[in-house]
Amino acid sequence: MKFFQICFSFKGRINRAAWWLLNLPIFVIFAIFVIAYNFPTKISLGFIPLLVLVWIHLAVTAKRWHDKDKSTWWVLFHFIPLIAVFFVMSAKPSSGWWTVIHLIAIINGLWTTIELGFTKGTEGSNQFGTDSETSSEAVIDVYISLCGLSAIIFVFGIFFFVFKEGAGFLFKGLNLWEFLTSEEWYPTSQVIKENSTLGEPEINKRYGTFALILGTFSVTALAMLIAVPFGLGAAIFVSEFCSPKLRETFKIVIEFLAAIPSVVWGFIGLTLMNQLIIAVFNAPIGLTMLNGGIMLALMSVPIIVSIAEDALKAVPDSYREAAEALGATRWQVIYRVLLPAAKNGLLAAVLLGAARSIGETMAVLMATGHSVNIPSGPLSWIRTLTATIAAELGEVARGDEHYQVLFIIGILLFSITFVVNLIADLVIKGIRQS
Amino acid sequence: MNNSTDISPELMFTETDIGRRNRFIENVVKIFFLIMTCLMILPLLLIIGYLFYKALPVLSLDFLFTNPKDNMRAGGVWAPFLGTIYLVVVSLLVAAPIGVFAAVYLNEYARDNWFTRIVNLAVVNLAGVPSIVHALFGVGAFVLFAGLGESILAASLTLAIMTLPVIIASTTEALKAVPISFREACWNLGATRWQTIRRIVLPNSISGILTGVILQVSRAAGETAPIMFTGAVFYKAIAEGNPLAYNITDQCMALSLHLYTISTQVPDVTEGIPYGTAIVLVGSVLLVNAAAIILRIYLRTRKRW
Repeated sequence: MKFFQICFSFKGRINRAAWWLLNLPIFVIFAIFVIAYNFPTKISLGFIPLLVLVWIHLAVTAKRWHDKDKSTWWVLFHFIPLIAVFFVMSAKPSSGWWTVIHLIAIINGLWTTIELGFTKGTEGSNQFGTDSETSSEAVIDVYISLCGLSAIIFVFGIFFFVFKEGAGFLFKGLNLWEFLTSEEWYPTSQVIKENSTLGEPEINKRYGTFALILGTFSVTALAMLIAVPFGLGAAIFVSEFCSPKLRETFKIVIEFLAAIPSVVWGFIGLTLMNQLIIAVFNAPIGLTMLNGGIMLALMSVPIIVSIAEDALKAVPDSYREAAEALGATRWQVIYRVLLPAAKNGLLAAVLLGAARSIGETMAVLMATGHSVNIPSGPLSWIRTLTATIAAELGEVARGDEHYQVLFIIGILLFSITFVVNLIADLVIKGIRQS
Repeated sequence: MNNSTDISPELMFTETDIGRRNRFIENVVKIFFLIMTCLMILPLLLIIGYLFYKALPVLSLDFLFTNPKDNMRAGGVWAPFLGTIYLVVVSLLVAAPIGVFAAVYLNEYARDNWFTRIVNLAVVNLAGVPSIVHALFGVGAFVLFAGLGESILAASLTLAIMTLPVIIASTTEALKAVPISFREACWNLGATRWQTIRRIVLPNSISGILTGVILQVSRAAGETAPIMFTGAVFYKAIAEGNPLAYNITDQCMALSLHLYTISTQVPDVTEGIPYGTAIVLVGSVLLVNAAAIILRIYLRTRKRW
C-alpha cells in the first residue's frame, strides 16, 4: 500500500502492529495539545492539523475493523462518548448523568482499544482484502519517508512563515529601492515640526538598511581576511604534516573551538577583546568592527578547517606519489599539486565560513558597538542585519510596520545565505563529479 | 666503464645546494603552518583560562543551585540552568527521532533521483539558515500561527528544527560507515529492508548516531537568538532545588540569554557573576562535547570490522 492509502483511505485492511504504529503518535500529539492549549477553551488556526490527524485516526481504525471483517460503520463506536456528551450538555454538570457518561466513555474506550489493538484479524481473505496486505513495515516506511521529507518542509516553512509576517508591508508601502540603498535607519523616529505651535510630533520613519548590509558584509570580509589564511594553513598542516595522533588531538581542539556558544564569543568580545583593543590601538571604545571580525574569525575557522581538510584528503594519494616521484618537496607538492587539485573544496570551505559569519547574531550584537554607521575602517562602530533583528524585535508591537520590516530583513538574510550555501553546494558537487 | 663511477662516494652522498635549500624551505613551511595551527588553538585555552580565572571568586555549588537575586545583580544561575536543560531535552525529544529517520531515509531508502537531491539540498540549506531567521520562523510559526505563545515548547521546537541538520549529517556519516556487504548478507537471508536496518544497520552505527545526538545537545544548549523571542525570558523566579519547577507551557530563563542580559542590559552586576555564568555555559557545553568524543574513541576501538 502506498502512503496515501495507508493514511487516508477507508479501504483495505491493516494489522494490529500497524494500527498501534499509526495511532500512538496521534495519541501523543493529542495529549501534548491538550496540555499545551487547555484543549477545548482556546481554539486557533493551529488546530487544522489536528483535524487531519482525526481523519487519519478514523481511516486507520476503519481499516482495522475491515481486518476483523466488520463494516466501515463500526467506526461510529468512536463517537458514542461524544454523542452522549452532546445529549447531556444541557444537564447540570454535577448531576449523575455525568458519571454515567464517564462510565460509557471509559467502557467504550477500553473495549475498542482491546478489540482493535490486541485481537487478531480474520485469517486469509475476507471481503475487504487479504490478511497480508499491510504489515507494520509499510507504516514504518511511511514514517521514514516523512522524516526525509521534513527537511524540505522545514526549509519551505521557514521561508513561508518569515515571508508571511513581512509580506503585508513588503508589497504595500515599503520602497524596496530605498530599503536597500538608503543608509537612514530610523524605525521609530518622531520629529517635532519646526513651525508647529502645538509641537505635534510628525512621524518620520525611514527604513534604509544600506548601512546594516554594509556592516554585515564588512565585518564578514574582515573575519574572512583573518580566518581564511589561518583556516587553510591549519587545514594543510593537519592533513599533510601531522602524525595521526597529533591530527586527532588537533581535530578535538577544533571541535571544542566550534562548540563554544556564540553568546560566549560575544561576551569575550565585550570584556577581554574590548580591553585589548583599547590598550593596543588606544581607541576610546574597543567594541568595533575589528572586535566583531576577530570573534567571527574564531567562530568560522573550525568550519573552514574541517571542510578544507576534507577537500585536501579527497585528493587521491596517487597525485602526491606522482609528484614526489618527480623529486618534488612536500611544499612543492602542496603548492603545485594539492592546492590546484583541491581548489573547489577550499572555495566551498571559505564560502561556508562566510555564510556562517553573515548569519551570526549574538557575537556581533555584543561586540561591534551597535551603532548604525557606514563603516570607515576597522575601528569604526557598525551594526549588522542580524544584530538589528535581535535588538529590536523584542521592542516592537506585532503587525507594526517596524515589526514587518524586521521580518523583511529576515527574508533578505535568508536569501543571502541561501544563495551562498547553494553556490558552495554546487562547488562541492562539481568536485564529486570530476 | 660509465660515467657514474667517476663520482666519488663523498660527492654522491653529500647534499647538493638544491637539496639543502629544499629541505630548508620544507622545514620553514612546516613550522609556519604549525604556528598557524597553534595560533588558532591558543585562543581556546586563553579564553577558557581567562573566564575561569575571572569566575573563580563566585564559583561554588551554591552558584549553580541558587536563583539570580537582587534584580540579577547577585545570586546564582539555578533558574537559567534548569531552563536550558528543559529546552535541550524537549528539543532533543523532537529532533533526535526525526533527524535519525531522515538520515535513514537519505542513506537507506532514497534512490539517486531528483527528489533525493532536493532533500539533500534542503538539509544543506537548513544548516545554513542564520539563527536569527530561525527565531523569526519560530515567532511566526510556533508562537503566533500554532498559538503556542512564548513557551518552552515553542522555543524547543525552534531549537529542534535548527539543530536537525547536525543530527542528520552525523547519522548519515555513521550509516555510511556500515559496510554494504553487511546489508547484502542480510538481504540474502530474505530479510526485508526495515529488518535489515533494524537488526544490522542501526546496531552497527549506534555510536555515530549517539555522537550526533550529543553534538545536537551541545549546539542547542548554547544557542541564544532562536529562543530570545520564542520562550526565553530575562527573569523568572522558580523553586530552588526542584528539578520539575518549569511547565512546558511556561516561559523560562536560559543560560545563554542570561549571560547576554547580565552582561549588556543590567548595570552594576557583581563582578564575577557574568564570568561564572559563562563558565557554567561553556563548561557544560564542552563537557557534553567531551562525552561525545570519548564515546566515539571508545566505540571505534571496539569496532569489529
